[in-house]
Amino acid sequence: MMYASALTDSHRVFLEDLFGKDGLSFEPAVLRVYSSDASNERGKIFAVVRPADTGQVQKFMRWADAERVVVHPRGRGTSLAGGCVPTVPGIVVSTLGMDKLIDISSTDFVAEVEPGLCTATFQAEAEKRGLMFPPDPASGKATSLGGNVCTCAGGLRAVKYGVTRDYVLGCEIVLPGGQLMKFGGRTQKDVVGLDLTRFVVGSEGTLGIVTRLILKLIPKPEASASVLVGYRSLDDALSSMTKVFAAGILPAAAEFIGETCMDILTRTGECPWPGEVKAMMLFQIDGGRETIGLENARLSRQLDDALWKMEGVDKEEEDRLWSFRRRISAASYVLGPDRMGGDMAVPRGKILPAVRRFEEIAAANGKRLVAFGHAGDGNIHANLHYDASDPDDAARTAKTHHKLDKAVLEFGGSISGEHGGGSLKDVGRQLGAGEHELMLRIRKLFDPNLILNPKKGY
Amino acid sequence: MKRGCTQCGECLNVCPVYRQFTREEYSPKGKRLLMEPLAPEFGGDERAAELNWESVRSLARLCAGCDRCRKACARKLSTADLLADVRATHPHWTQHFWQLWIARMGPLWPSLGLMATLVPDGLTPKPLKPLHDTAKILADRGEARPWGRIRKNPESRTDVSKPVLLFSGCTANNVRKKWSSGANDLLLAWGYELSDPGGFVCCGGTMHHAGRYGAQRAMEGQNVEYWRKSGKPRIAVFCASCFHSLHGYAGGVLTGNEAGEWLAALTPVSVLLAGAEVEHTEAKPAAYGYHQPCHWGDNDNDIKFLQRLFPGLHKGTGLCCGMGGILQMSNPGLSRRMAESTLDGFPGAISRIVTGCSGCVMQLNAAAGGDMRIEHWLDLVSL
Ligand SMILES: Cc1cc2nc3c(=O)[nH]c(=O)nc-3n(C[C@H](O)[C@H](O)[C@H](O)COP(=O)(O)OP(=O)(O)OC[C@H]3O[C@@H](n4cnc5c(N)ncnc54)[C@H](O)[C@@H]3O)c2cc1C
Ligand code: SF4
Ligand code: SF4
Repeated sequence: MMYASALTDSHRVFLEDLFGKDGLSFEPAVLRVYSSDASNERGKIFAVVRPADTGQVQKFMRWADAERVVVHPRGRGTSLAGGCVPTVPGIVVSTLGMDKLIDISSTDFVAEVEPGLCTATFQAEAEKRGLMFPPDPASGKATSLGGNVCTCAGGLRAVKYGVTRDYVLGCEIVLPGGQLMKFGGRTQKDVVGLDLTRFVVGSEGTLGIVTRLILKLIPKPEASASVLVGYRSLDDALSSMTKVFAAGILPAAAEFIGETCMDILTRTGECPWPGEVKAMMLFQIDGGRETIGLENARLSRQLDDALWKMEGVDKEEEDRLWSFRRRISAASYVLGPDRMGGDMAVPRGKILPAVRRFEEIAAANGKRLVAFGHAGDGNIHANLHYDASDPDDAARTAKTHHKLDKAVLEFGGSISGEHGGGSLKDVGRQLGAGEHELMLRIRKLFDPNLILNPKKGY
Repeated sequence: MKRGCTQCGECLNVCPVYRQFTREEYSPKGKRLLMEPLAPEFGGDERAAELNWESVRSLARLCAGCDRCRKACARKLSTADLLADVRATHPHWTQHFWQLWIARMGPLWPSLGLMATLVPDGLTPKPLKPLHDTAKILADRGEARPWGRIRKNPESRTDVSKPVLLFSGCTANNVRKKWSSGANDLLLAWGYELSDPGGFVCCGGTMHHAGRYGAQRAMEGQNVEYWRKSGKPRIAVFCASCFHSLHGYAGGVLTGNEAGEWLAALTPVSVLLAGAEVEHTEAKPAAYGYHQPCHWGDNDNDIKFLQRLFPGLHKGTGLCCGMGGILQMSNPGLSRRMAESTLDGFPGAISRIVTGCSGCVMQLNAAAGGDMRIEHWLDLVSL
């Protein structure tokens, strides 16, 4: 594909006319900020634009397509997969100037938002009205809803409530060429035509620029309770979780903390559990104020084989339990100042063999695997720490990381449960050739000149 | 070599400068991406970097030094400190100006303020207006009437055995002497033994933000020496920003055991006034707000103290008032916008706001219109 390799004077004039001084920058210092993301990879860009409304996005996309200027849509740049890294020089479209909460309805249980709205800000607005937007990526304070939708972000509550895709009723996107498409609507049910809303969710900015979202809300549960449970090994911890599910209990979150994480936690701070506890599960349940105690007791009965247990019933007590889980990510740096992270997913029953296999691969390369994650939905955070200034360590880490991706497929898993392909993952390893080819054909229907996020996604 | 920003984005929402613009280049993350390649401690090297200090300066320096980003960051990276480091090696006129202002013109502040009130508003050049307004409120506007008379509850078991040195800070020393005398009277009434604080100088906080590390260290050294000479008493502080920078001595100018002793000695005045009972006066308004100074961090005792004395205190939703660092000097317009946003974070019915930081009082009063007034709580309690 031939793309514009620089901006001409008339390109610049067009952009200045469309976006004005406030909505556009060619300044090298500003461009530096928009030329990478949380993957810490970098690329080159010609400009960053900041549309204020859909009309501007349409005019811009008509122009960009005609001029074959590459476009990199961007929310808040927290992609860990390099989804915002400019693989081919082009223009970044920052959606942060379109961050309005257009409508939130307690009768329809629907909200309409612009894509740049911050996830946590939106969740707080919903909660004020007794409503909940369940997708809860750990990065929610830092992300945009547009970014969440385009990556189909998931979080702790996915086991019970599902992921972002389950809460998008409709959307508006601007196609390359400038046409505005409206998919879905405010109804909870709608089976007319192809479900193109679902195409957009998780499309990693390859089909169009999302300019409006129609999101589904549910009533916010009145109460919740958590329990942190200690076991002799991850084997014991996960078999205890199996018992919980077999008893018909669906927790709102079920997190596992592997042996290496436990070692890190004990080395880096105060820990209330006894020394023989080598792995943990953290469960959360939610429901009505009157029934939460009963549900909690029901869960506790299934945890009778635990070595140690700590319960939390109100926010303060729960926060204390969750603080151990939250500490892992920052505390892991004791194993090395740099990190390479994996976010693979396996069928729930395969977590244990997968983690053990990953550990073996890491050990064979002289590395320690930091494994924790969402046991309830089989999503494993498989992190490797290293010292980037030591070339041997860096090479062994990269090799291990690569091998883990391969191993996850042996368990019928996915190389990415949350972060997406971005510019870093070789999704061809997982997708069948025919299926991959079909996806690329669909992509071309939306974006015939492939100006959107080229070499990213799939 | 220190590891820098991971671009996780956790610091965006907490940064008052980002909140003004909602652009990534104004966020702590953005500023770090520009400065880390210039900072040797993060492996940066200006000779090799593709952008030099000149080309990043105008963005990088948009920081009020509020410290919120450090708290939010998993790596505890302080963008204000990084900016100070880069400034230390790349001086700019605002630093000299501010250093002069604090170090040399202190005693002249009240008269400078007075002069400012005499200049008709219309005659101040527009870009200097926020500075001019601050100067105006530096002129003491006379007595605020206290909202409550307080005394120590006789049952209260406050430990008054250790002597106390009152650290007043530049603003109080120069233009709000009554805060020092008020705090003095209250501490005496509580039964504390007060030593002469005459040997203290500026806490050095502003020098730090300006990257004037030499001046900062000299001030720190002088304060610590005076504390040692006085027999390491408790240090009572009523300004959040002074407290924040004094706290920073531990691990800097002070190490080991002595750093621990220093931290144990530093005490907010509101903590020392534990067990206060209040009798309200007619001056207490029906509705009032509280502006939380950034520099108390997560450990704000003033709000607890004030909530007990004046129930119904309404906490504003704004972030930082914009006074911190040297933003007032380097970008007075932005600093003013931040103050206005902070005031907008209070419901319309509130025209009296109380706080516990000298800088916030000055800054917010300068931005307040109509009959809105911002007081240090020491103006609102008396014996
Ligand atoms: C510390 C940390 C923790 C994380 N935890 C989680 C987690 O628990 N779960 C999880 O799922 N992810 C997690 N992530 C990854 C990341 O936060 C998510 O992928 C998030 O959804 C990205 O949102 P964003 O606004 O930053 O999007 P960006 O990173 O800006 O963009 C992501 C992708 O979407 C595209 N895009 C963004 N907005 C639009 C738009 N309006 N139109 C078209 N395309 C668009 C971009 O081109 C890019 O390909 C984490 C990241 C970090 C750094
Ligand atoms: S110190 Fe405050 S103003 Fe400065 S970058 Fe950090 S959060 Fe923003
Ligand atoms: S919180 Fe820290 S690591 Fe994260 S983006 Fe901000 S400065 Fe960087």
